[in-house]
Amino acid sequence: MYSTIDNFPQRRVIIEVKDEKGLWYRLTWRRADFPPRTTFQHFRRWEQLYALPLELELRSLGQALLKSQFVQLKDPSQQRLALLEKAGLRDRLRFRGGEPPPTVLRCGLRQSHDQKNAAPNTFFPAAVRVSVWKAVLDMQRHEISFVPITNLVTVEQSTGF
Amino acid sequence: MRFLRQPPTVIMKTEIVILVYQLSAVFFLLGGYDADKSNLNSALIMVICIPMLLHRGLLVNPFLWLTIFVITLTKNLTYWDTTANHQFLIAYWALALGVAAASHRVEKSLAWMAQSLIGLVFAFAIIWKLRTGEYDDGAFFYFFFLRVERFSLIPLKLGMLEPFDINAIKAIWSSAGMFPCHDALIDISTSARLHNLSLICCYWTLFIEGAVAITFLLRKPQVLCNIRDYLLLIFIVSTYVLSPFDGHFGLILALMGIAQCPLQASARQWAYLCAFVVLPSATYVYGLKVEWIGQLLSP
Repeated sequence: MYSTIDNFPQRRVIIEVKDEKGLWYRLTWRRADFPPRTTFQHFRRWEQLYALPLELELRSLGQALLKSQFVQLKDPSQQRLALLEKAGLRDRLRFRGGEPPPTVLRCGLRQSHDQKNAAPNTFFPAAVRVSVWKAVLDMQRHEISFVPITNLVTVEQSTGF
Repeated sequence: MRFLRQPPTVIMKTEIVILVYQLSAVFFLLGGYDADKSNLNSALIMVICIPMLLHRGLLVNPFLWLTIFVITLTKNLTYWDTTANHQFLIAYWALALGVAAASHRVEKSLAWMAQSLIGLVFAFAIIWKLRTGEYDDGAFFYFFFLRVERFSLIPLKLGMLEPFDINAIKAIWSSAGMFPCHDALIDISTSARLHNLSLICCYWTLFIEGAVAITFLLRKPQVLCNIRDYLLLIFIVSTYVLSPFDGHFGLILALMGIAQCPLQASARQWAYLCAFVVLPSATYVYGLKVEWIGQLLSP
Protein backbone atom coordinates (compact mmCIF):
# COMPACT_ATOMS: atom_id res chain seq x y z
CA MET A 1 0.00 0.00 0.00
CA TYR A 2 2.78 2.41 0.82
CA SER A 3 5.41 3.13 -1.72
CA THR A 4 8.57 5.13 -1.53
CA ILE A 5 9.64 7.82 -3.92
CA ASP A 6 13.20 6.79 -3.67
CA ASN A 7 14.95 7.47 -6.92
CA PHE A 8 14.57 11.17 -7.40
CA PRO A 9 14.82 14.41 -5.48
CA GLN A 10 12.24 13.59 -2.87
CA ARG A 11 14.60 13.59 0.06
CA ARG A 12 14.98 16.34 2.53
CA VAL A 13 17.93 17.15 4.69
CA ILE A 14 16.48 18.64 7.80
CA ILE A 15 18.59 20.92 9.95
CA GLU A 16 17.29 22.12 13.26
CA VAL A 17 19.01 24.49 15.65
CA LYS A 18 18.52 24.90 19.39
CA ASP A 19 18.59 28.29 21.07
CA GLU A 20 19.87 29.09 24.55
CA LYS A 21 16.43 28.41 26.03
CA GLY A 22 16.35 24.90 24.59
CA LEU A 23 13.81 25.55 21.83
CA TRP A 24 14.36 23.86 18.45
CA TYR A 25 13.88 25.68 15.16
CA ARG A 26 13.65 24.22 11.67
CA LEU A 27 16.25 25.74 9.39
CA THR A 28 15.57 26.30 5.70
CA TRP A 29 18.71 26.96 3.83
CA ARG A 30 19.99 28.87 0.86
CA ARG A 31 23.14 28.43 -1.15
CA ALA A 32 24.79 31.54 0.27
CA ASP A 33 24.17 30.38 3.82
CA PHE A 34 26.72 27.62 3.76
CA PRO A 35 30.31 28.45 4.56
CA PRO A 36 32.31 25.84 2.68
CA ARG A 37 31.10 25.26 -0.85
CA THR A 38 31.76 21.54 -0.53
CA THR A 39 29.34 21.30 2.35
CA PHE A 40 26.65 22.83 0.23
CA GLN A 41 27.40 20.49 -2.66
CA HIS A 42 27.22 17.43 -0.43
CA PHE A 43 24.00 18.71 0.95
CA ARG A 44 22.42 19.07 -2.48
CA ARG A 45 23.63 15.64 -3.51
CA TRP A 46 22.13 14.01 -0.47
CA GLU A 47 18.79 15.54 -1.28
CA GLN A 48 18.76 15.02 -5.00
CA LEU A 49 20.57 11.80 -5.62
CA TYR A 50 21.06 8.26 -4.56
CA ALA A 51 23.98 8.85 -2.25
CA LEU A 52 23.14 8.78 1.42
CA PRO A 53 25.36 10.60 3.85
CA LEU A 54 27.13 8.67 6.54
CA GLU A 55 26.44 9.69 10.10
CA LEU A 56 29.96 11.05 10.15
CA GLU A 57 29.14 13.43 7.28
CA LEU A 58 25.99 14.63 8.98
CA ARG A 59 28.00 15.23 12.13
CA SER A 60 30.63 17.18 10.21
CA LEU A 61 27.91 19.33 8.60
CA GLY A 62 26.44 20.00 12.03
CA GLN A 63 29.85 20.91 13.42
CA ALA A 64 30.59 23.26 10.51
CA LEU A 65 27.31 25.09 11.10
CA LEU A 66 27.78 25.24 14.82
CA LYS A 67 31.28 26.56 14.47
CA SER A 68 30.83 29.52 12.19
CA GLN A 69 27.18 30.42 11.98
CA PHE A 70 24.56 32.16 13.90
CA VAL A 71 20.85 32.10 13.28
CA GLN A 72 18.49 34.86 12.41
CA LEU A 73 14.90 34.02 13.09
CA LYS A 74 12.33 34.68 10.45
CA ASP A 75 8.91 33.23 10.22
CA PRO A 76 7.44 33.21 6.74
CA SER A 77 5.60 29.97 7.50
CA GLN A 78 2.42 31.63 8.74
CA GLN A 79 2.53 33.91 5.73
CA ARG A 80 2.72 30.85 3.50
CA LEU A 81 -0.23 29.27 5.24
CA ALA A 82 -2.20 32.46 4.71
CA LEU A 83 -1.37 32.36 1.01
CA LEU A 84 -2.53 28.75 0.80
CA GLU A 85 -5.70 29.74 2.62
CA LYS A 86 -6.30 32.49 0.08
CA ALA A 87 -5.82 30.06 -2.80
CA GLY A 88 -8.25 27.60 -1.21
CA LEU A 89 -5.49 25.05 -0.67
CA ARG A 90 -4.95 25.31 3.07
CA ASP A 91 -6.68 22.03 3.86
CA ARG A 92 -4.27 20.17 1.58
CA LEU A 93 -1.31 20.76 3.87
CA ARG A 94 -2.06 19.14 7.20
CA PHE A 95 -0.12 18.29 10.32
CA ARG A 96 -0.53 15.19 12.43
CA GLY A 97 -0.75 17.14 15.65
CA GLY A 98 -3.17 19.70 14.22
CA GLU A 99 -1.31 22.93 13.55
CA PRO A 100 2.50 23.08 13.17
CA PRO A 101 4.34 23.52 16.49
CA PRO A 102 4.79 27.25 17.16
CA THR A 103 8.44 26.90 18.13
CA VAL A 104 9.48 25.68 14.71
CA LEU A 105 10.18 28.71 12.62
CA ARG A 106 12.08 29.34 9.51
CA CYS A 107 15.57 30.60 10.12
CA GLY A 108 18.22 32.21 8.02
CA LEU A 109 21.93 31.90 8.55
CA ARG A 110 24.35 34.75 8.52
CA GLN A 111 28.05 34.31 8.45
CA SER A 112 29.78 36.98 10.47
CA HIS A 113 29.66 38.25 14.01
CA ASP A 114 29.33 41.82 12.71
CA GLN A 115 26.15 40.89 10.93
CA LYS A 116 24.83 39.31 14.11
CA ASN A 117 25.31 42.53 15.97
CA ALA A 118 23.46 44.41 13.25
CA ALA A 119 20.58 42.01 12.73
CA PRO A 120 17.65 41.58 15.15
CA ASN A 121 16.32 38.25 16.43
CA THR A 122 19.58 36.40 16.16
CA PHE A 123 21.32 33.86 18.34
CA PHE A 124 24.22 31.44 18.24
CA PRO A 125 22.85 27.91 18.18
CA ALA A 126 23.55 25.83 21.27
CA ALA A 127 23.13 22.66 19.23
CA VAL A 128 22.48 21.58 15.66
CA ARG A 129 20.45 18.51 14.71
CA VAL A 130 20.72 17.00 11.22
CA SER A 131 18.79 14.16 9.60
CA VAL A 132 17.60 13.03 6.15
CA TRP A 133 13.97 12.28 5.42
CA LYS A 134 12.30 10.57 2.53
CA ALA A 135 8.91 11.26 0.95
CA VAL A 136 6.43 8.39 1.04
CA LEU A 137 3.35 8.50 -1.16
CA ASP A 138 0.24 6.66 0.00
CA MET A 139 -1.63 5.96 -3.21
CA GLN A 140 -4.85 5.07 -1.38
CA ARG A 141 -5.14 8.58 -0.02
CA HIS A 142 -2.92 10.40 -2.52
CA GLU A 143 -1.05 11.78 0.45
CA ILE A 144 2.65 12.35 1.01
CA SER A 145 4.31 12.00 4.37
CA PHE A 146 7.97 11.80 5.35
CA VAL A 147 9.96 9.12 7.12
CA PRO A 148 13.52 9.48 8.49
CA ILE A 149 16.14 7.47 6.65
CA THR A 150 19.11 8.40 8.82
CA ASN A 151 19.65 8.67 12.51
CA LEU A 152 19.05 12.04 14.05
CA VAL A 153 22.57 13.41 14.55
CA THR A 154 22.86 16.07 17.25
CA VAL A 155 25.96 18.17 17.77
CA GLU A 156 26.01 20.13 21.01
CA GLN A 157 28.09 23.28 21.43
CA SER A 158 29.92 21.69 24.37
CA THR A 159 30.71 18.39 22.61
CA GLY A 160 31.12 19.76 19.10
CA PHE A 161 34.76 20.76 19.40
CA MET B 1 42.87 -5.51 -50.79
CA ARG B 2 42.77 -8.54 -48.49
CA PHE B 3 39.48 -7.12 -47.20
CA LEU B 4 37.95 -7.24 -50.72
CA ARG B 5 38.93 -10.87 -51.26
CA GLN B 6 36.74 -11.98 -48.35
CA PRO B 7 33.26 -13.52 -48.96
CA PRO B 8 30.37 -10.99 -49.21
CA THR B 9 28.86 -11.99 -45.83
CA VAL B 10 32.19 -11.36 -44.12
CA ILE B 11 32.47 -7.97 -45.82
CA MET B 12 28.94 -7.10 -44.67
CA LYS B 13 29.70 -8.21 -41.13
CA THR B 14 32.92 -6.20 -41.19
CA GLU B 15 31.08 -3.14 -42.48
CA ILE B 16 28.47 -3.35 -39.75
CA VAL B 17 31.15 -3.72 -37.09
CA ILE B 18 33.00 -0.73 -38.56
CA LEU B 19 29.73 1.22 -38.57
CA VAL B 20 29.20 0.42 -34.88
CA TYR B 21 32.73 1.58 -34.06
CA GLN B 22 32.27 4.76 -36.13
CA LEU B 23 28.94 5.59 -34.51
CA SER B 24 30.41 4.90 -31.08
CA ALA B 25 33.29 7.26 -31.81
CA VAL B 26 30.80 9.91 -32.97
CA PHE B 27 28.76 9.32 -29.83
CA PHE B 28 31.75 9.91 -27.57
CA LEU B 29 32.97 12.83 -29.67
CA LEU B 30 29.61 14.59 -29.36
CA GLY B 31 29.65 14.27 -25.60
CA GLY B 32 27.40 11.27 -25.08
CA TYR B 33 29.34 10.43 -21.93
CA ASP B 34 28.17 13.51 -20.06
CA ALA B 35 30.99 15.69 -21.38
CA ASP B 36 29.95 18.91 -19.68
CA LYS B 37 31.27 17.69 -16.35
CA SER B 38 34.90 17.91 -17.35
CA ASN B 39 36.60 20.00 -20.04
CA LEU B 40 39.80 18.01 -19.71
CA ASN B 41 37.98 14.76 -20.41
CA SER B 42 36.25 16.32 -23.42
CA ALA B 43 39.58 17.48 -24.83
CA LEU B 44 41.14 14.05 -24.35
CA ILE B 45 38.18 12.28 -25.95
CA MET B 46 38.34 14.69 -28.90
CA VAL B 47 42.05 14.06 -29.38
CA ILE B 48 41.37 10.33 -29.47
CA CYS B 49 38.11 10.17 -31.44
CA ILE B 50 38.88 12.49 -34.36
CA PRO B 51 41.87 10.44 -35.62
CA MET B 52 39.82 7.29 -35.02
CA LEU B 53 37.14 8.53 -37.39
CA LEU B 54 39.73 9.40 -40.01
CA HIS B 55 41.67 6.14 -39.90
CA ARG B 56 40.17 2.64 -39.77
CA GLY B 57 43.23 1.14 -38.13
CA LEU B 58 42.86 3.51 -35.22
CA LEU B 59 39.10 2.99 -35.11
CA VAL B 60 39.49 -0.63 -34.01
CA ASN B 61 42.54 -0.07 -31.88
CA PRO B 62 41.89 -1.75 -28.49
CA PHE B 63 44.29 0.51 -26.63
CA LEU B 64 42.43 3.66 -27.71
CA TRP B 65 39.05 2.26 -26.66
CA LEU B 66 40.47 1.18 -23.34
CA THR B 67 41.80 4.71 -22.91
CA ILE B 68 38.31 6.09 -23.57
CA PHE B 69 36.99 3.60 -21.01
CA VAL B 70 39.48 4.82 -18.41
CA ILE B 71 38.63 8.48 -19.13
CA THR B 72 34.87 7.94 -18.87
CA LEU B 73 35.19 5.72 -15.81
CA THR B 74 37.43 8.28 -14.11
CA LYS B 75 34.85 10.97 -14.79
CA ASN B 76 32.06 8.73 -13.49
CA LEU B 77 33.94 7.86 -10.32
CA THR B 78 34.95 11.48 -9.71
CA TYR B 79 31.33 12.59 -9.90
CA TRP B 80 29.93 9.25 -8.75
CA ASP B 81 27.09 10.73 -6.77
CA THR B 82 25.83 12.97 -9.57
CA THR B 83 26.41 10.51 -12.39
CA ALA B 84 23.34 8.94 -13.97
CA ASN B 85 23.18 5.15 -14.16
CA HIS B 86 23.47 4.99 -17.92
CA GLN B 87 26.80 6.82 -17.80
CA PHE B 88 28.30 3.70 -16.26
CA LEU B 89 26.80 1.65 -19.09
CA ILE B 90 28.44 4.02 -21.57
CA ALA B 91 31.82 3.44 -19.90
CA TYR B 92 31.29 -0.34 -20.03
CA TRP B 93 30.44 -0.01 -23.71
CA ALA B 94 33.84 1.61 -24.35
CA LEU B 95 35.43 -1.31 -22.51
CA ALA B 96 33.42 -3.78 -24.60
CA LEU B 97 34.57 -2.07 -27.82
CA GLY B 98 38.18 -2.32 -26.66
CA VAL B 99 37.95 -5.95 -25.59
CA ALA B 100 36.14 -6.93 -28.80
CA ALA B 101 38.75 -5.13 -30.91
CA ALA B 102 41.45 -7.18 -29.21
CA SER B 103 39.67 -10.49 -29.83
CA HIS B 104 40.01 -12.74 -32.89
CA ARG B 105 36.32 -12.58 -33.82
CA VAL B 106 35.43 -8.95 -33.33
CA GLU B 107 31.82 -9.07 -34.51
CA LYS B 108 30.94 -12.14 -32.43
CA SER B 109 32.42 -10.91 -29.19
CA LEU B 110 30.96 -7.43 -29.71
CA ALA B 111 27.50 -8.93 -30.33
CA TRP B 112 27.79 -11.15 -27.24
CA MET B 113 28.87 -8.27 -25.02
CA ALA B 114 26.20 -5.90 -26.36
CA GLN B 115 23.52 -8.51 -25.78
CA SER B 116 24.74 -9.34 -22.27
CA LEU B 117 25.07 -5.68 -21.27
CA ILE B 118 21.53 -4.88 -22.44
CA GLY B 119 20.14 -7.92 -20.65
CA LEU B 120 21.96 -7.15 -17.40
CA VAL B 121 21.04 -3.46 -17.43
CA PHE B 122 17.35 -4.24 -17.78
CA ALA B 123 17.52 -7.08 -15.25
CA PHE B 124 19.07 -4.78 -12.65
CA ALA B 125 16.56 -2.05 -13.52
CA ILE B 126 13.63 -4.38 -12.97
CA ILE B 127 15.08 -5.72 -9.70
CA TRP B 128 15.52 -2.14 -8.45
CA LYS B 129 11.99 -1.16 -9.44
CA LEU B 130 10.44 -4.20 -7.79
CA ARG B 131 12.57 -3.78 -4.67
CA THR B 132 11.66 -0.15 -4.06
CA GLY B 133 7.96 -0.78 -4.61
CA GLU B 134 7.31 2.51 -6.42
CA TYR B 135 5.78 0.74 -9.39
CA ASP B 136 3.36 -1.60 -7.62
CA ASP B 137 0.65 0.98 -7.12
CA GLY B 138 1.48 3.63 -9.72
CA ALA B 139 3.10 6.01 -7.21
CA PHE B 140 6.18 6.66 -9.32
CA PHE B 141 4.37 8.01 -12.38
CA TYR B 142 1.62 9.69 -10.36
CA PHE B 143 4.20 11.77 -8.54
CA PHE B 144 6.20 12.48 -11.68
CA PHE B 145 3.18 13.53 -13.72
CA LEU B 146 2.51 16.14 -11.06
CA ARG B 147 6.00 17.30 -10.17
CA VAL B 148 8.17 16.94 -13.28
CA GLU B 149 7.23 19.15 -16.20
CA ARG B 150 8.45 16.87 -18.97
CA PHE B 151 6.18 14.12 -17.65
CA SER B 152 3.18 16.42 -17.34
CA LEU B 153 2.81 16.82 -21.09
CA ILE B 154 1.04 13.50 -21.68
CA PRO B 155 -1.66 13.80 -18.98
CA LEU B 156 -2.18 17.46 -19.91
CA LYS B 157 -2.66 16.54 -23.56
CA LEU B 158 -5.01 13.71 -22.61
CA GLY B 159 -7.06 16.06 -20.43
CA MET B 160 -6.33 14.03 -17.28
CA LEU B 161 -4.61 16.93 -15.60
CA GLU B 162 -5.25 20.65 -15.49
CA PRO B 163 -2.53 23.32 -15.20
CA PHE B 164 -4.33 24.35 -11.99
CA ASP B 165 -3.56 20.95 -10.40
CA ILE B 166 0.14 21.25 -11.14
CA ASN B 167 0.36 24.82 -9.88
CA ALA B 168 -1.60 23.93 -6.74
CA ILE B 169 0.67 21.01 -5.91
CA LYS B 170 3.73 23.14 -6.60
CA ALA B 171 2.48 25.74 -4.09
CA ILE B 172 1.59 23.15 -1.44
CA TRP B 173 4.90 21.32 -1.88
CA SER B 174 6.92 24.50 -1.55
CA SER B 175 4.95 25.64 1.51
CA ALA B 176 5.47 22.25 3.16
CA GLY B 177 9.21 22.95 3.00
CA MET B 178 8.72 25.64 5.64
CA PHE B 179 7.65 23.14 8.26
CA PRO B 180 9.25 20.14 9.92
CA CYS B 181 8.83 16.97 7.92
CA HIS B 182 7.84 14.81 10.87
CA ASP B 183 4.22 15.83 11.03
CA ALA B 184 3.48 17.21 7.57
CA LEU B 185 0.89 15.48 5.38
CA ILE B 186 0.57 16.75 1.83
CA ASP B 187 -2.61 16.03 -0.09
CA ILE B 188 -1.82 15.63 -3.81
CA SER B 189 -5.11 14.14 -4.95
CA THR B 190 -6.24 14.90 -8.50
CA SER B 191 -8.38 12.56 -10.59
CA ALA B 192 -9.06 8.83 -10.81
CA ARG B 193 -8.07 9.01 -14.48
CA LEU B 194 -4.58 10.23 -13.62
CA HIS B 195 -4.33 7.46 -11.03
CA ASN B 196 -5.26 4.89 -13.70
CA LEU B 197 -2.83 6.34 -16.22
CA SER B 198 -0.06 6.12 -13.61
CA LEU B 199 -0.88 2.47 -12.98
CA ILE B 200 -0.85 1.68 -16.71
CA CYS B 201 2.51 3.45 -17.19
CA CYS B 202 4.05 1.65 -14.20
CA TYR B 203 2.85 -1.79 -15.32
CA TRP B 204 3.91 -1.09 -18.89
CA THR B 205 7.40 -0.15 -17.66
CA LEU B 206 7.67 -3.33 -15.60
CA PHE B 207 6.44 -5.42 -18.52
CA ILE B 208 8.65 -3.98 -21.25
CA GLU B 209 11.80 -3.84 -19.13
CA GLY B 210 11.24 -7.36 -17.81
CA ALA B 211 10.61 -8.67 -21.32
CA VAL B 212 13.79 -7.02 -22.65
CA ALA B 213 15.81 -8.47 -19.75
CA ILE B 214 14.52 -12.00 -20.30
CA THR B 215 14.86 -12.05 -24.07
CA PHE B 216 18.38 -10.62 -24.03
CA LEU B 217 19.70 -12.81 -21.23
CA LEU B 218 18.21 -16.10 -22.44
CA ARG B 219 19.86 -17.47 -25.58
CA LYS B 220 17.09 -20.05 -26.17
CA PRO B 221 14.37 -20.72 -27.32
CA GLN B 222 14.72 -19.14 -30.74
CA VAL B 223 11.37 -17.39 -30.52
CA LEU B 224 12.77 -15.18 -27.73
CA CYS B 225 15.78 -14.30 -29.87
CA ASN B 226 13.48 -13.32 -32.70
CA ILE B 227 11.43 -10.86 -30.69
CA ARG B 228 14.14 -9.28 -28.55
CA ASP B 229 15.00 -6.54 -31.05
CA TYR B 230 11.37 -5.55 -31.45
CA LEU B 231 10.98 -5.30 -27.67
CA LEU B 232 14.08 -3.15 -27.32
CA LEU B 233 12.95 -0.90 -30.18
CA ILE B 234 9.51 -0.55 -28.59
CA PHE B 235 11.19 0.38 -25.30
CA ILE B 236 13.40 2.98 -26.98
CA VAL B 237 10.55 4.52 -28.94
CA SER B 238 7.98 4.49 -26.13
CA THR B 239 10.40 5.90 -23.60
CA TYR B 240 12.39 8.39 -25.58
CA VAL B 241 9.94 9.77 -28.07
CA LEU B 242 7.06 10.17 -25.61
CA SER B 243 9.12 11.26 -22.61
CA PRO B 244 12.82 11.54 -23.31
CA PHE B 245 14.67 11.43 -20.04
CA ASP B 246 18.10 11.59 -21.35
CA GLY B 247 18.63 10.83 -25.03
CA HIS B 248 22.07 9.38 -24.34
CA PHE B 249 20.63 6.21 -22.85
CA GLY B 250 18.45 5.68 -25.92
CA LEU B 251 21.40 6.35 -28.22
CA ILE B 252 23.69 3.86 -26.49
CA LEU B 253 20.91 1.25 -26.51
CA ALA B 254 20.40 1.80 -30.25
CA LEU B 255 24.15 1.42 -30.82
CA MET B 256 24.30 -1.79 -28.82
CA GLY B 257 21.19 -2.97 -30.62
CA ILE B 258 22.93 -2.63 -33.99
CA ALA B 259 26.00 -4.43 -32.65
CA GLN B 260 24.11 -7.50 -31.46
CA CYS B 261 21.54 -7.69 -34.27
CA PRO B 262 21.92 -10.76 -36.53
CA LEU B 263 23.32 -10.03 -39.96
CA GLN B 264 20.22 -11.28 -41.78
CA ALA B 265 17.97 -8.90 -39.80
CA SER B 266 18.79 -5.82 -41.82
CA ALA B 267 15.37 -4.21 -41.24
CA ARG B 268 15.99 -4.24 -37.49
CA GLN B 269 19.46 -2.82 -37.99
CA TRP B 270 17.94 0.00 -40.01
CA ALA B 271 15.39 0.58 -37.29
CA TYR B 272 18.14 0.89 -34.68
CA LEU B 273 20.06 3.21 -36.97
CA CYS B 274 16.95 5.37 -37.47
CA ALA B 275 16.51 5.51 -33.68
CA PHE B 276 20.12 6.61 -33.32
CA VAL B 277 19.57 9.45 -35.80
CA VAL B 278 16.03 10.44 -34.82
CA LEU B 279 16.37 10.39 -31.03
CA PRO B 280 18.41 13.59 -30.65
CA SER B 281 15.93 15.55 -32.78
CA ALA B 282 12.95 14.04 -30.93
CA THR B 283 14.56 15.08 -27.66
CA TYR B 284 15.04 18.59 -29.03
CA VAL B 285 11.40 18.88 -30.16
CA TYR B 286 10.26 17.55 -26.81
CA GLY B 287 12.45 20.08 -25.04
CA LEU B 288 10.58 22.83 -26.86
CA LYS B 289 7.26 21.35 -25.80
CA VAL B 290 8.37 21.18 -22.19
CA GLU B 291 9.44 24.80 -22.41
CA TRP B 292 5.99 25.62 -23.72
CA ILE B 293 4.41 23.78 -20.79
CA GLY B 294 6.66 25.67 -18.39
CA GLN B 295 5.32 28.94 -19.82
CA LEU B 296 1.78 27.68 -19.54
CA LEU B 297 2.24 26.75 -15.90
CA SER B 298 4.13 29.81 -14.77
CA PRO B 299 1.86 32.08 -12.74
